[in-house]
Amino acid sequence: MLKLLVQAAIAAAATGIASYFLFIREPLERLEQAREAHARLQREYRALYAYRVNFDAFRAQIPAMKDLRKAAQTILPDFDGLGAGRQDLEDSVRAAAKEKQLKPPIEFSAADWSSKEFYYYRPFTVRVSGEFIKVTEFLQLVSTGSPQLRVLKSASVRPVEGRDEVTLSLDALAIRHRDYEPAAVEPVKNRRRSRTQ
Amino acid sequence: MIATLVAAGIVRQFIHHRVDAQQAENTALESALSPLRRETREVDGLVKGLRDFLERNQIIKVLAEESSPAAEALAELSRLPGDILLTHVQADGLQIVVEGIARNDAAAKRMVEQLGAMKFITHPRIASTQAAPGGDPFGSQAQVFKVQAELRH
Repeated sequence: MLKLLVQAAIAAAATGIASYFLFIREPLERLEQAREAHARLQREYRALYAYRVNFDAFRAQIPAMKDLRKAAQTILPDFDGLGAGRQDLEDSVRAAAKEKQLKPPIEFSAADWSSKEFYYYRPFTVRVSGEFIKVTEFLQLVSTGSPQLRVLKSASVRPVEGRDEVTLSLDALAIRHRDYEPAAVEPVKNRRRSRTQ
Repeated sequence: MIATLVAAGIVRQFIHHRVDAQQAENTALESALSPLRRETREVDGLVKGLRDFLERNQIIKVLAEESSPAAEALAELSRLPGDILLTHVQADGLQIVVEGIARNDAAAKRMVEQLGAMKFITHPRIASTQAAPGGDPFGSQAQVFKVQAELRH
């Protein structure tokens, strides 16, 4: 009797296991996948719905944002290659000298582009002579008054002996935007934070 | 055994129903998501533009602060009175050194006061003064001076 009971139990267990693998496991896995997909879609829906709250505000800013971005791109243009920009830089310096009626010789020299985390820079130097006021206006045109961002490192003005003129020597950087991955910003921010602490 | 098989069949049917119901819900969610996704793509482009602007703006602000306002300082120096003759102006970053000849000691002191009231020059101090060499056009009281100051934006 006991033997029969044990055999029946074993047969029932074996049938149960076989039934699970044959009939239940596959639909159960599909149900699990469908639930996971549902959870993912719900998360996406909640995130997009929350995001949607700001859509109208964003759209309203489009024209102003376009203008601002265009201005920022003019001031800080994209870097367009190691060989680019030298002649443009020299031309703009000579055009500024011409505008301020500074007579040649205008000595110009520029080094190659180098890079920092967020931008490229090209050091350049200029030496020019003329009336003090004209030279000052020229310095303003090629530094803070330039449509493109320039960093003036140093400037020296000395009178020219025997003439009512001065000589200006300046040392500055032309700057270009460098694209970077947001992840690259973190170490820099951390370094700055630790420097300021 | 038969009972087990029947029970397994019933469970399978139940699970199938649940799967169908879940997939129907998922399809409904997908349809609700598609207009949201479309709108998001449009705004994502804007957000990208905004990020680009903010990045550039930050770089521009930081570097503009590092640039020497030497041109503006020179324009201010050009307004010094006629009893001051500048012989050398050297601006390095936010430091400036002005050398020249003053008609006399009082003129040099007045100049420092004037420099202190300027917009782009701050904290002027006389680093050195000495009598100018004989025969200076400003006369016997002429003083050769060297003034140090800071520049500000």
